[in-house]
Amino acid sequence: MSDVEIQSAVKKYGRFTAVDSLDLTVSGGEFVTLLGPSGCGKTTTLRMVGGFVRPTSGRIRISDEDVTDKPPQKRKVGFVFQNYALFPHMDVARNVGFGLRMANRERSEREKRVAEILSMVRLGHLSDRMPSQLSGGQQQRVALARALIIQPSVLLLDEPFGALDKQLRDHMRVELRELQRSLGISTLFVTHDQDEALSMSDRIVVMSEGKAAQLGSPSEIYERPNSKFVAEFMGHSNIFDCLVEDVSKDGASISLNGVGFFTNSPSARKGSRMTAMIRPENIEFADSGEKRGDATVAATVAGMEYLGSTVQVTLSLEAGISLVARQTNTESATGSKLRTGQNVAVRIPPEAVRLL
Amino acid sequence: MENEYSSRLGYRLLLIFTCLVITFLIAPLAILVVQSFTAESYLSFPPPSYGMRWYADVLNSADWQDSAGLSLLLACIVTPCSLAIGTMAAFALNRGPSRGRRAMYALMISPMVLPHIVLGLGIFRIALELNISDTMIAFVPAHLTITIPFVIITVGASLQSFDISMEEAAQSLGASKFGSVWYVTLPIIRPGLIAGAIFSFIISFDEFIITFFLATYSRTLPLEMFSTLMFQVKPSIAAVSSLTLAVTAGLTAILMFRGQVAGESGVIK
Amino acid sequence: MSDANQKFKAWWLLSPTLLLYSLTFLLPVLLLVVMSFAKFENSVTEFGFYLGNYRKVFGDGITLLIFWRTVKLSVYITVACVVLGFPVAMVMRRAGPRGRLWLLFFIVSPLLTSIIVRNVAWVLILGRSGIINDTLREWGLIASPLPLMYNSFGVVLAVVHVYMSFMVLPIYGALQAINPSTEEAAASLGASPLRVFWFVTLPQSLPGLAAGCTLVFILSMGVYLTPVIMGGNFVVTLPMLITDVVRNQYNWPTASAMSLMLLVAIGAMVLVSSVVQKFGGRH
Repeated sequence: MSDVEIQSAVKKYGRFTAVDSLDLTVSGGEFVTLLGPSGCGKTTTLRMVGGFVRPTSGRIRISDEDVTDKPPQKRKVGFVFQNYALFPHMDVARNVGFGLRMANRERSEREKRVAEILSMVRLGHLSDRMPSQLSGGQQQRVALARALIIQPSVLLLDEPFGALDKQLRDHMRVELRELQRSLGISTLFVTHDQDEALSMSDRIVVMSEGKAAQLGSPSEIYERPNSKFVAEFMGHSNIFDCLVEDVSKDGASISLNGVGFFTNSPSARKGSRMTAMIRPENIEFADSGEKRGDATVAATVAGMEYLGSTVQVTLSLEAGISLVARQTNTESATGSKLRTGQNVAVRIPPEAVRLL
Repeated sequence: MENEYSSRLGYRLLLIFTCLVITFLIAPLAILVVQSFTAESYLSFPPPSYGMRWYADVLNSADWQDSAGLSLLLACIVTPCSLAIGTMAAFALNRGPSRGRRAMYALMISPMVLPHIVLGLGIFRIALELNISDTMIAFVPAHLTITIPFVIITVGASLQSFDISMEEAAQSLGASKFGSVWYVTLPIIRPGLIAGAIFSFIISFDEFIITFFLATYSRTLPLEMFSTLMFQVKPSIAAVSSLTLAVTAGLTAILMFRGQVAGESGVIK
Repeated sequence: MSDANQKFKAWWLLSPTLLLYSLTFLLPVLLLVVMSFAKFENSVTEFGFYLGNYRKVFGDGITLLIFWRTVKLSVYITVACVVLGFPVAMVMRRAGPRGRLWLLFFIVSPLLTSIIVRNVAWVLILGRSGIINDTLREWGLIASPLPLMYNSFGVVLAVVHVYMSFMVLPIYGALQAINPSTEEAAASLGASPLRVFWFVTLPQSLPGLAAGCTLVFILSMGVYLTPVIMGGNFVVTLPMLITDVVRNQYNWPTASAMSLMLLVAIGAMVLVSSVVQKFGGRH
């Protein structure tokens, strides 16, 4: 039993392939995010499920029923649009009740259910307001209530936080996630914001050029990206081409332009060229007196960037390698006391280096 | 330009000039209205004495009644037809394929730039061939040809600013394609529809040259006014003009202020 | 919804308009073209390919004279509309929302009031015993009435009154679209208000200006009623001539040739304007 099943869906616009043979199943009230840069096909995928775009080939199934050839009004999906698409000529109650009116429900039943769902999104007191009189967050809750009232088998969210400012966005994503969890409704969410995807999702599909580049839990995607694209998109900065010099049972030694590192990443093959990723928050600054063997590298501080809770240090290594390190901004942290131009020794533990 | 240091003098000069231009636009009409209330049998300004004499004269005249009746009837037939046909065309141009859309749009509004004298001449000839020249069967399509472009423009502009995801939202909530247009799109683009209807009415009501060619015995209000004016300038013509002015200015006011108000509440901030 | 084959389905909605246009617009114009090559002799029209109508139109001296007079009048009208209309559009842009609405109302209201009503108003003002002449005579400033109508002046004045809004609205539209920051930038770079206008505002408003000029010129070329009322038989324009040839001489072929002359002139203006607007848009 799955709520949504996308089976090798393809969407072509002329020569351009927006979605290229995508497979995805969402079920059991899970929250799945389609994440990717603009033009990667995530919105097209969502609109295929919603019934606004007809796949060139492949099938879409909702609640185990093939809906590929069905128009949106026969699909029972709850779609929340990027700009909410609230009907400006109807008040909140009529906006929310629209789906029931289209289903020809009795007036009394409509009023009862509208009141219920509005109190669920804490908007009971605003039912006779017009959409233009609501704040961004309130508009979004109305859009959500309107989509949920038809008791859809799946909730589809198209960048619903795009129009909100940062503070409200953080608040709304907690609220939305709680509501979604309490209703147990399977949800497909589209965003280009990694933080949003990481904080909300059960699973994430990173999309690139119409294909799923990686599918996994937030921690898998963030900590073990399977490609350079995913690593870069998830905000990792230290990505290098490297040569695997030796492989042992503990890990492998690799060389970046002649600078040697040790990694415990399992996927290494001796003699192959691979992509290495070094996580900035795992780079440690060795005390000047302490010089301990293989994992320590000499570097010069090329730049410092103050980010509030963290400090980002750009390090210049030999052989022209530039490395970014991030340190928590505490009194005791070494990183926060550095000066540009200072020579330092940095320690890069094996678990900080990942081969992709 | 609009900062607080901008030249006050320059703006004041512009403002004075604008007031003069507005006076130029409005004063003749105001004078006309004042003169229509003269109690004399000739026109002068300001009239020596005032009265409703010429309005009574006009309203009791069978000629004026007949011609006003014909013009109203014509406008009342033309307006709904024009709105329906023009709105359909505006939807087609808005939703149709983008290739060829510009050319099609140009074709659809081209009766606007074609001189009405040429249009009238051509329609007259066709009507003569079909032997319908002095009938409603000729008047209505002729008027529609010049009113439909205005509907296409006003409704088209509303559709352009209409967010199609509203319709998609309605459909995902169970509305049929037609239902989503009926319950969502049409109410939202209402200002454009009202504007199109008012334009159609006024243009049909005031149309002169094409009807001038087509009509032999029929007299619409503008035709009657024209022939009266060519015969002699009597206060009755001022009274008729003022009445016509009241109708069109009233409709214009609705167009401007209703349209604006509806437009404002119709847009999410 | 957004799929290509569905989009083509939307075009059936054009069919009522196309059907109507083909009978009241395309066919009539085609007929005029065909008729302009027909032969008219002893009140009988004979279809064929006969260039006599054009030879007559271009050769009789009078038609061409009237044509150029029509062009000249249209140019005067267009220039007058620019001079009067541009400042109004600028004030509209700077006015507050309320003031703007009222200005818009004043600008649009003449557009929506009957042409014939407005001409009646001008007859009452400019006529031999109109307000101006009456007043001046009463004050003893003139002995005989001033010739204010039945000449080009009266025609131009009345047509400008009718078509001003067609100039103001496109210019206003173009001015509205200008990003005020570009003007502020020019000012911060040392440009005086006049130079800001000349180098920044005016060039950006050219598309609107071109559109307004085209519209007013085209409409002026085709105007019939105002020259008849305000000019009488003293300012004969091409539309008046065409009407006379059809209604009094029943000479359709000649009238058709004259109509095509008018259409070609208007087409040329549209072409020039689209070129100007293209170049204006590039800058």
